[in-house]
Amino acid sequence: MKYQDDNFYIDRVLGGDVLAYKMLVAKHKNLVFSIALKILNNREDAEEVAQDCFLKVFQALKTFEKKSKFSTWLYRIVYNAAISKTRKKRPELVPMDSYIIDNYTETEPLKGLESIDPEEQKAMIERAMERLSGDDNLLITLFYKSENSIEDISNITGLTMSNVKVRLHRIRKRLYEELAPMMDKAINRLN
Amino acid sequence: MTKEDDFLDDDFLRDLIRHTPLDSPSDGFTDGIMEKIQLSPGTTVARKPFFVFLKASVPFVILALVLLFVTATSDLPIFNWLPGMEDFTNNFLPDFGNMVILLKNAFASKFISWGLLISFSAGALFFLDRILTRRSVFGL
Repeated sequence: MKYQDDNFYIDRVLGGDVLAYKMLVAKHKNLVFSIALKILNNREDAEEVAQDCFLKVFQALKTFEKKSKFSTWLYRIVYNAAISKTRKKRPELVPMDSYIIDNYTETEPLKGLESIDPEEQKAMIERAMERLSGDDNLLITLFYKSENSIEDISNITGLTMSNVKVRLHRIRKRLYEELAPMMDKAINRLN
Repeated sequence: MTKEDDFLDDDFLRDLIRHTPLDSPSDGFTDGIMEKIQLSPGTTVARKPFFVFLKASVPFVILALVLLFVTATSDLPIFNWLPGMEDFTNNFLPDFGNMVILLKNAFASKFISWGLLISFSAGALFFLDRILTRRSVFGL
C-alpha cells in the first residue's frame, strides 16, 4: 500500500479526522514494533509498549511542531519507552578514533554471490542478523531497512553521530564475518 | 569520505537487508489502538490550542493596523474616498477623548475598579497557565 507523507495524516488528525491516525499507525507499526521487540526480546511486551506509544503519540500530536521528522520523534519515543521497560543501560559509547585506528580493515567483497539463489541470500542475512545483539540489530534495521540518516539514528537512540557511525561500521564488519562462511558453504554445495 | 563512512556506500548489504521482512505485530494491533483512542474518555481529538492561532496572527494584525493607519491618515488623492487626516483630527480624536473621559469616570467607582482588576488578573493567570502547561508528554 502506498502511503502519503506523515504530515498529511497529522494535519487531518489535528483537523478532527481521528481515523486518519489509523493510516499513520499502519504505516509505522512494523518498525515501531521491531524497535520494541529488538530491545525487549518479548513479543507481548513489545506489542504492549508499541500500542502504548501510539496512544501517547496521538494524545501529544498537537505538540509535535514538525521541526523534526514525525518518524524520528515516534521511534525515539518507542526506543525510550522500551529502554525504560527493561531498565536496561543505554548502549555504551565507543570512542570512535581509537576503535577505527585499531580495528579498521578493508572488507573483502564476497565472491560468487550471483550464483546463490536470492531467497537463500535472504535467509543467510536473516540468520546473520539474528546473531547480532538486540542493540546492533536495531541500529542496522534503522539504518539499512528504514533508511534513517545517521543524524536521525543519533536523535532516536541518544548516541552521538560519531558513535552511530562506529557501531554501524563494526556491525557491518561482523555481518560480513558471519556471511562469508555461509556463502562459502552454499557455493561449495552448488559446485 | 573518511574510512568509517564507507559503509554508507555498501549497496550489497543494503539490498540484502532491505529485502528481509520486518517483525510485525498481531493482526488486531491497529484496530486495538483505534478502539482505545475512540473509547478512552481522556483521549480527545487533538486540536491546535487557541493561542497558537493567536500567536500566528499577531504579525498580520500589526501589519493590518499599520496599513489602516497609513491609508487613513494620508491625504493622497487616490484615497479620497477614505477618511483623511482632517477627519481623523476633527472627528476621531475628540470621540476617542470622550471615550477616555467616560472610562475615567467609570473607574471613579471602586466597585468597578476592583471588578476589573480581578477579571484582568484571572484572565492573565488563565492564559499564563495555558502557555506554561503546553509541554509534550514525553518532554521532547
